[in-house]
Amino acid sequence: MSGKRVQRLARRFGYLEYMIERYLTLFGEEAEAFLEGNDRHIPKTIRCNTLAIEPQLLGKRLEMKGFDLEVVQGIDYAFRMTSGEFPLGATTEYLLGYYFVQSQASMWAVEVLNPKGSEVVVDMCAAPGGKTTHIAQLMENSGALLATDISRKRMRGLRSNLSRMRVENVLALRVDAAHLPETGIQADKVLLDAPCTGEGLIPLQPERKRSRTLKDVETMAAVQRKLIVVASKILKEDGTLVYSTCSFAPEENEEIVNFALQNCPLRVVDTGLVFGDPGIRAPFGRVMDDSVLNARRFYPYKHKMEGFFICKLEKITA
Amino acid sequence: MQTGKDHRLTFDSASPLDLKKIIEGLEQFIDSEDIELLLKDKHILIGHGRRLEVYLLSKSLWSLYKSLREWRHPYFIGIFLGEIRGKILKPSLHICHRLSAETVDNAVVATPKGEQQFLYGKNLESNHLLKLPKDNVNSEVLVMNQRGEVLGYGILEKESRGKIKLRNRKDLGWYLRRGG
Repeated sequence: MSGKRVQRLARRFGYLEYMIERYLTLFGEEAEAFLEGNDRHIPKTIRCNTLAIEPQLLGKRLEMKGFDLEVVQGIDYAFRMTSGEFPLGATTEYLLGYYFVQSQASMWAVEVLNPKGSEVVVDMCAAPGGKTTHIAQLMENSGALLATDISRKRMRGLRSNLSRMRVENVLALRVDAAHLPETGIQADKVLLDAPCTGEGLIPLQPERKRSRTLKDVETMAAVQRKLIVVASKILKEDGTLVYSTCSFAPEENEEIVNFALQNCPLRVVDTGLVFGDPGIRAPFGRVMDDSVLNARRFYPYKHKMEGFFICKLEKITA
Repeated sequence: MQTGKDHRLTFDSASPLDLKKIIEGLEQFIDSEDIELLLKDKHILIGHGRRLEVYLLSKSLWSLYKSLREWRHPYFIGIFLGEIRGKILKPSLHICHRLSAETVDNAVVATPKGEQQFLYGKNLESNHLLKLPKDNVNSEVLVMNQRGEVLGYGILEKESRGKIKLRNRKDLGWYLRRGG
């Protein structure tokens, strides 16, 4: 790899050089398209709260207020906002809990989890509640949903969002997820949207081009390894775990899944998604289990949403 | 709604006195049939913190709560019904969400301009009120928009010149101003 090319791209797109080197290794000839994609605007998306209003009615009401919306393909209760005159978080409809401003990629993580009202579900890193309120919506406010987070400040947002979105089936605990097995819970489904370096959010927060080091990736990966072991422990046999991040880094994605396959009674299963790139099997020359190909990666330049990784796993019967 | 750094609650089942305060608080806005429906098959927990917070739990959530061994200090659980202050329950915004024009007969209707003012946390003058319930001066009333959606509640007051004014007590704009 030419050092000059790395420097040139780092200057042109404003990244730290180590990141460019990694993107050139991972994406080869598509690296420049990838970098250009990270500089393009990603339209905001909202999820209609079907616990409170029909999507068609919400769409009409927001259009009357000057928003241009289109339905997100595959999620008929979600809208992409193509234009609008004032903030989506400042309407009466927002305050009434009729919608949540939520990224499309994170909606797919919950769709892959496919929670049901008869189940016990755990959302491990829940605050401020975008995915928690989405899970509750798909459970139709039935069953039981344990939502945990360690951050005091973020729990405040979670509580407010649960109330605004009319969620009634959540028990929210402020706890270090490492302690979850001590609660004795055995869940049918677990969502682990793990804390991560957030590279996938670069289109929304360009400062991330220069704010994370490789050391940060390693630090987050250590946290993610701990959390996925916990997720496996609190899952019933045959239960479903969805692991997701908003990072491009294989160390936070395929390598965590590979670690889980080696250390926990889990297997990777198909996400059921018909789009997205497959997981990377041999990132930086490190060969993973073949099944990581079943994971799905989303890139701004290809999929017009922020960067995201989703992998679905099942707990193997002992 | 209580939030912030002191939010740690210890939970107990509701006592008969708690239940009386809860029902009296709800009766300000909802008729007894609808209260019965709201409480049906639910467990009521009282969270003791800086204030007394009232939560309703479905059977599934109650079962989860009981199964959590010593981890029985949830930050939030089920339906937050409101806070008991003094002799009565002060209903939460969540309860406002569950009410509608069909279930409520003690409500004022705000004009579109009044709706915006109220959601900014402001009081409403009589020119922003389209419909007033009879004989409700100095009592709490729900505030609705013209679509019949509940925006919060307040107290109707008669000013010195006989004009009616609505004093804002709780409105959905809280979610933006303080919700976090």
